[in-house]
Amino acid sequence: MSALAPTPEWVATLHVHGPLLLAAARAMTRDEAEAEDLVQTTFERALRAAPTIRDPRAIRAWLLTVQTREAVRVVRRLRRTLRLEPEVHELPVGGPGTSASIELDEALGRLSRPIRAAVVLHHMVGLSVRETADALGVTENTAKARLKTGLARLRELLDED
Amino acid sequence: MKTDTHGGAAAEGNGNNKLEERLSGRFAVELDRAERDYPALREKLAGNVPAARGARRPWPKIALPMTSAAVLVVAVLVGAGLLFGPGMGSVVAPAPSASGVVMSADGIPTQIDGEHVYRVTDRAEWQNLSGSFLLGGYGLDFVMSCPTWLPQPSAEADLLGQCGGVELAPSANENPGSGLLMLAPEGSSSLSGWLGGPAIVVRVHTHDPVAAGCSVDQQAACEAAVVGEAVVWPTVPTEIAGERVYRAADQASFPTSGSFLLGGPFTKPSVMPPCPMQMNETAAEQQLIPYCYILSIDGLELAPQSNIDEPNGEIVVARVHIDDPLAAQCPASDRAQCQTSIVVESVVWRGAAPAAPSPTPGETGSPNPASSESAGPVASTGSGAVGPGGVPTTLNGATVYRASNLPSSPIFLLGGRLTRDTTCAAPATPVAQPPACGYWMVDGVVVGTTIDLPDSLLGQVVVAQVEAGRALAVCPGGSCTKSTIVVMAIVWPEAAVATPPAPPSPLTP
Repeated sequence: MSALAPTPEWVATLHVHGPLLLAAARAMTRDEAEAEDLVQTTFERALRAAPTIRDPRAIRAWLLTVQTREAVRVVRRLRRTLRLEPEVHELPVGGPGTSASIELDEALGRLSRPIRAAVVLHHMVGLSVRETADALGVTENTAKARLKTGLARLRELLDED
Repeated sequence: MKTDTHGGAAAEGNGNNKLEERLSGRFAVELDRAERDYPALREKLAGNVPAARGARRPWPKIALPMTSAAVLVVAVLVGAGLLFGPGMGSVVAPAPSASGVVMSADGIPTQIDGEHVYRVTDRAEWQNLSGSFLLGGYGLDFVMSCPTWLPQPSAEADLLGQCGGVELAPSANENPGSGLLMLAPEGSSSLSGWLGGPAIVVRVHTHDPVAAGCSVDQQAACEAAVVGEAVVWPTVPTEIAGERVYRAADQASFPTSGSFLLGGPFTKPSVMPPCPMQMNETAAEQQLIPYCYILSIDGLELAPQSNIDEPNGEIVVARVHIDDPLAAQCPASDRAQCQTSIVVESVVWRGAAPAAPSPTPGETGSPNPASSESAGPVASTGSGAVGPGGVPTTLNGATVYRASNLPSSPIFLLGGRLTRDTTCAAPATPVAQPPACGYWMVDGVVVGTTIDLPDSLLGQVVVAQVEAGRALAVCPGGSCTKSTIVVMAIVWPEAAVATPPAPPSPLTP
C-alpha cells in the first residue's frame, strides 16, 4: 500500500519535534553522525508511514518510538560492518565540556543500548514508564527493570551514594 | 525527573533522585544545544546538503509536500545508482530472455522462447498433451475448512488432495475456490511465492507417473491432475556479480553466517495497519517474528525489522541474513524461530512487476446497473466483487465498508465517492480534524485527512484506509471530544496512489 505525499502541516509538525529528536538521538547513540542519521531515518519513516497519530500529544512519543527502534537496528548494522568496539564511542562534538557532564556522558555510554535507551527516554526526555515501554517494545515491568538497572549502574559508575 | 518508577531503600531513593536530577539537567543542556544545531540540520533536510563526513548518505529534501515525494524518489534513484551501478557487476538471469517473451493483452505471455503458453481456460487444448507444457495465469491460495480429513492413498493425496490448495486463475480478479484450475498438491510448492501476485507462467504436466498408484475410481482424475514443475516467467536472476541468488527452495542450504542474496516476488498485504505493541513479547521477538502482517520474498516470511518497501508483486533480489544477533535475546521457546527469521538488509535488484491486466468488460461491472453513478475506476489486482456505485466490496480479502455500515473497529477500509463538504471552511490542520468542519467526504462521511488528496480524485470512487477515533475539539462552552474518521491512505484505485517514497538506503558507514 502506498501513501500520498505528506501535508505541509505534517512536515512542519515533524520539524517542531526535530530538536527533541536530535537531543535524544545524541544521548542514545553518543555519536554525532549516527545521531543525525537517526533523526533523518526517523523523518523518512514518519513521512513514508503517513501520519496516523491524530492526538498531537502522542506525536512526540510516536516519533521517539520510531527513533528508538531504529537506534537498536542501526547499532547492529554498524557492528556488522565496522566491528566497533563496544567501549569506543564518539564524544559529542561541541557539547558541553564540564567534567561533570563528560563523566555523566561516559557513564551513559557504558550502559548497554537498550538500558541506555530506557534511561534516556524516561529520565532525560521525560516519557512515562508506559511510553518508554511502548517505545522499547517491552512490557512495563521490563522497562522498570531496565530503568532500575540503568540507574544502579550509573550510580556505580559515577560513584554516587 | 520521574518518580513513578522505583521503590527501594530511602538512601537509594535519594541517590536516584539526585541522579535523576542530574540526568534531567544534562538533557536540558543537550536540548539547548539541539535547538541551536537543529536549524543547520533542517537545512540539510531541505537542501540535500551532503553531510560533513563524506561516507554518510545525503539527507533527503523535506520541503513542500508536493515535492517531497518526488525528492524521495530521487533519493531512490540515488540509492539505486549506488546499488545498481557499475560496481554491482553482471546480473545473470535464467532463460527465458525478455526478448523471447511474446506478451498478450491480458498480461500473460502467449509464447516464451517459441513455446506456446496455454491458458487455464483452454483445457481441451492442453489436457491430453504428453510431456510438459506452459500454462499461464494467476496463482491463488485457496484455503477451505476441512474438518474431516479422509484417509487417501498417497498417490491420490499427492495428485488430488482434499481441502483447498493452489489454484491457477485465468485473470487477476478471480476469487479463490470459484471453479478455477486446482493444481495437484505435488509440485504446488513451486508456486508458493507467487500466490496473490503477478501473472505467472508455470511449466506443468498431466499424466503424472504417480497416477498409477491411484485407486481405479480415481484413476481418470489422477491422470488429469495438473502438476506444477516450476514458474518459468517472470524470471528471477540466478546470480548477481557472481554471487548466487538463493530461492525459497534452497532454504535448507541458506548460509547461517554472513549475508546472502534471496530472490523472488515480494508480497505484502494491501492494507498494513499500524501494529500494536505486543506487551507479552520481547522487542527481539517483535522485530524478528511477524505478528501483525506478513511480508515475504519468494513465499518466505520476512522479519518485521526488514528494510524493504517495494510494490506488491515486484520481483526483487535482496541481501538478507538469518541468525540475527537479536535472536539471542528471544526467549528460549521462540529462539529457534528467531534464529531462522529472514532479515532483509537491502534490496539490491528490482525487476518490474508484470502489469496486471485490465479486467475485461463485465468482470467488474456493477451488479446494480440501474445505479445513476458511473462505474468508477476499474478494479485492480486484489479487488473482489464490486458493489453499488462501482465500489469494491473487498480488497485482498479485507471488507470495504460503506457509510451505511461503518464498523466499530478503529481501522478499516471505507469506500465510496470522494467529494467535498462545502458546508464549512477547509480544515486548518490535517490533524485531529473533527467532522463538524471536514473538508473531504468519502461516501458522504466527513473525514479528516493526514495526506494530500489531489483534486484529480474529486468525484472518483475510492477506497481509503481510515482510522476512527475521538479528538479534542472546541465546542460552545469549552472543549469537547468528537468522533473522527481520518484518511490515512487511498488504497484503491492503485493508479490514484502515488509511488511510495523510498525505503531508507542502507547505511553506508
